[in-house]
Amino acid sequence: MTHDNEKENNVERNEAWLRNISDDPIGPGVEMIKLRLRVERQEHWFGECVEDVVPEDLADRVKRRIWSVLREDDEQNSHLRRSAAKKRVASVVYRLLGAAAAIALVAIGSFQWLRSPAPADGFDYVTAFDAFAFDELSESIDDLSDDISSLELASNGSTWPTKSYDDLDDDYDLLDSLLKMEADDWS
Amino acid sequence: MKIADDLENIVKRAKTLDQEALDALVDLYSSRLYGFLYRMTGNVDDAEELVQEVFVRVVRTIADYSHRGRFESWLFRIAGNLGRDHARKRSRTPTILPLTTTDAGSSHDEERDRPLPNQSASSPDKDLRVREDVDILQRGMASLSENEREVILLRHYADLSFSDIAKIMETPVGTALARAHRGLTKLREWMETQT
Repeated sequence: MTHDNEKENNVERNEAWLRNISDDPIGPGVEMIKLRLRVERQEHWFGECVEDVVPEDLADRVKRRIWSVLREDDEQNSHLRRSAAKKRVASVVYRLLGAAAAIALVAIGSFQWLRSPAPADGFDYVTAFDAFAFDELSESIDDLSDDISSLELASNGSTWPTKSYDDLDDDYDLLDSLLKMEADDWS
Repeated sequence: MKIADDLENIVKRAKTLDQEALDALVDLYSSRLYGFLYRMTGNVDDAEELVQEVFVRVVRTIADYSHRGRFESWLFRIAGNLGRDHARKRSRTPTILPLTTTDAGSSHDEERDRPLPNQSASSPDKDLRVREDVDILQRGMASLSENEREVILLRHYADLSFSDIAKIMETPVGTALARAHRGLTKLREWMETQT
């Protein structure tokens, strides 16, 4: 090694040391700095002693373990998701049955009302009933059925859900509002 | 700077359990973690098992990791905790490396006789020399206190500053520095008596 190279290496080493020191707020004490310098020399010695003996395929084995763990976690989570989904679907089916019963009551009430004598202004209640009530309600029920089918398939693990429980709640709320409006209109 | 940026990007992707990013973390750190845990436990099988356990914990907790400070601090803190737990379990059923060859138990004999990993391409003479060096250094490491050993290993394998190490070990910086000095002095004296 030439003198110039040696000098350059020393400069680099000193710079590296200064950078290192600046990462370590060891305080202004001279003794601490001396200690830090001594440790630096010892660490250099230690670095030369350590001979790493890492198994060649260690990384591959670690990666395989990670993926086996992730698969296990995923299976466990999907089992939990399926259980939760089944409970949610059952609850929605009960709510839907309730909604269907309410529709049936409204419809029966409406037809009973329609069978009564027509008012003097001759308003066409049959057309109005067809145009509003069943179109909107049946569309809303269709939406709910789609939500439930999608969630049922997802809960069986057949597909990824295209609908969420938020969609289902929104659609249910819409149907609920329509039923209330309908009930108000025809009561 | 570029490496730090790359690492930040890798960690960000790893937080979403991106396969490539997790593999990249394994490629980046498995060797260093193995060295760290081998020096902590003195046993190749335990070291490998613990490296795998570190990454399992990383995968399960990285979503909650916030990228502040150095990633190595977080990673080697996990490794250090696992290494200490392991040492405590082992201390109940003592299999720690003996300080002299005459004390060697059967488990240590098996460990010493086992071919060292990654040395298939080297010559038998070199194998023997490497094995002897590793053995001496490892026995020297076993003679240090847990705290001294951990500071030295965190410096060497995690490349952490003393202030980072002090945070991990919950001690003042001066204490971490003093432990490193004391441990390395003991180790050097130990090595000199062996050669």
